[in-house]
Amino acid sequence: MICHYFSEPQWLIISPDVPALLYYTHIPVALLALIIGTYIFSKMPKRPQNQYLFLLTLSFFGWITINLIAWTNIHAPVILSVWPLFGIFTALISVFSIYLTYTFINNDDVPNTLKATLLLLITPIFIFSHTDLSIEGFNISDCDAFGFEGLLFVTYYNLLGVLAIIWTAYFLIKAFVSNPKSSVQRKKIVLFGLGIQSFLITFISIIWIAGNLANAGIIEDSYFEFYGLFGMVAFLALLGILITQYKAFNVRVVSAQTLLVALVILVGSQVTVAETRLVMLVGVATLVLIMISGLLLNRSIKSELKQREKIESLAKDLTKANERLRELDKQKSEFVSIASHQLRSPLTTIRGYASMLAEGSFGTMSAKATEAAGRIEEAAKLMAMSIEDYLNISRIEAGNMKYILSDFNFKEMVDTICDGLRAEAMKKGLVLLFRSDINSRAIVNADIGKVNQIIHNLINNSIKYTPQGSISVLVRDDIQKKKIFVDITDTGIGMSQETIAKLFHKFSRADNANSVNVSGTGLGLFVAAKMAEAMGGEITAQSAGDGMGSTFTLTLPLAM
Amino acid sequence: MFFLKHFFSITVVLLLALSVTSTHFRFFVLEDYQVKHEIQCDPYTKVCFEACMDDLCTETYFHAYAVRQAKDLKQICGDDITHCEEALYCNPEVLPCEVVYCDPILRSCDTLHEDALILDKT
Repeated sequence: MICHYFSEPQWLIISPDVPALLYYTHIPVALLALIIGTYIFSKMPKRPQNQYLFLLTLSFFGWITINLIAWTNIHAPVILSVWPLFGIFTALISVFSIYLTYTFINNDDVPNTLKATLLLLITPIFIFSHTDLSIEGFNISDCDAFGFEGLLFVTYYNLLGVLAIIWTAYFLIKAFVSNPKSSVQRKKIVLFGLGIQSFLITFISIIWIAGNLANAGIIEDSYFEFYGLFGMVAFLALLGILITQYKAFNVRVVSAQTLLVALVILVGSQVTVAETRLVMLVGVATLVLIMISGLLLNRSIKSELKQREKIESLAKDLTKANERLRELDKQKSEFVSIASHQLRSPLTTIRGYASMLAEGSFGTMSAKATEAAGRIEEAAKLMAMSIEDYLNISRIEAGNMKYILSDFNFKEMVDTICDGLRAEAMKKGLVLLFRSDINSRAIVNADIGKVNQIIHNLINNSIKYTPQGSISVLVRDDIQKKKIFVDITDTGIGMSQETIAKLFHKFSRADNANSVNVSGTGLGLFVAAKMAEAMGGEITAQSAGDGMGSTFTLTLPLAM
Repeated sequence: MFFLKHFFSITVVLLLALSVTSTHFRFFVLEDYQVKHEIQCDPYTKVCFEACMDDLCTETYFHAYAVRQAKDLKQICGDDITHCEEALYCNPEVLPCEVVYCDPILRSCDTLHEDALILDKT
């Protein structure tokens, strides 16, 4: 039997008797859904969430296809054969929405109990689809089966849709609550939840209401069911955000590619609803241009994507290597610490006995033997100082350096140190001067031992690297800035700006340091700078260049 | 093992195949379904539906609906009932059928457009 009031469709679905909006709402949405579903599935076919998204979009595509056939075909057996499939596809959409939500949240396949439960629930739809419970007859005048649908059948499959809305909402709320606030997973759940719920709610409710009104004869046909399909557009848009922003479904796509596909489908579907040949030609031309430029754009995007992936992979390798280096550095510091401790004890013994030998505690020795014992003591002293530097470095790097803070007079301390080192300077024929320009009480709150060590180190360095001339030590303060300074200025070998830039690095020594035959590890300034920093101060160095002398300044906060 | 892993997919595919086959058999082979189509109706004796002849509704006509078995109607009129005399009336002696008139309880029959109520004047 055929609907004699309507024309035969061309190419199965093109009919002049249906609203033009039908094609615009159905074809682009169905194609977009199927393309996205298939693309995601093809990227990782074994991943359950990719499989269920594909099955969901495939069921949706099936629903739209039979809807188009039902709208445009005029043969009663054809329309009646596809009509029960509305129930089947609605049931499948409901089930796959539940599965997809479960797998998206848990990143694991659906348990067999849940699969079996839902399978049992949808089985009656398949079993009774060909019976009068599903559909009894056909209206030739209106060319549809409204009024002949079984109320129980329609209600049952639509209730499965309602069940899917409630079940997915339950999964989503549970996952949202169990994830920590502002976590990425929570944001993903919100986006996915908004998408799947907007799809299910609009699709199930609008189509159910439209079908019921048409069955009751209140409306002529289910025209406004078209609007129920727009929920899928919202779902796909949110899926696009999830994929491009959060790499959901393990798919790497850039926004431009998604936009391009959407654009081609939208312009393509506009061609199908063009009312005049001219509009259709313009539409086709636009579509061709978009496709050509899209192909070019896609090529450049692909190469950009490849580069980005390479950079990401390199960054990952770099992070790993960095972690490994940090681990090795830690192990090295531990080794240095242990080794230094082991060396310090015998060295103290060597120094002690060498000193006792030189002083004649074990009897009188010849002048040559006394000199040799003195050299042993001096060498042991230098070695002990180097070991102390190594130990300090391992303490600093391990974060184990202890600072005992107390108030003391900074100016008096520097004065005392100068007094102590003056004899050594004089031995080298140098003059060591001390001056002060103080407006405060010169009290600082710091570790007295460490500050002593820093100043001692700086003045000692000046003595070592000054072959002739003088060393001037000036203590000054700045009450407004609440800082106190000690400037150690010498007439020594000086430094270039390049040397100053790396002077406070580990194992760094001035390029011309060996010119004065001074041994050193290059650790003293590094340790001193780290100690000063830990006490809220800093050490800076200035020099006009090689052979022009240097000025080292230690700054510490004043205790007001 | 394979069935246990894919029991859902296998069952759904089997059920779908069963459903499509049985539906096709019922509607294409057995032609076991009812058809509802317009028949002539006298607005002076029955509560008829009023429908428009064209999109602008410049002219109207009155009709009722007949519901019959598709197979029976096809035997007399073929697939297309446009020019079939027997399809214009409901005569149970020729072809079993049921007539549906406009029911003001179920639907609004007071519009001048399609489905309008024409009062039974008899």
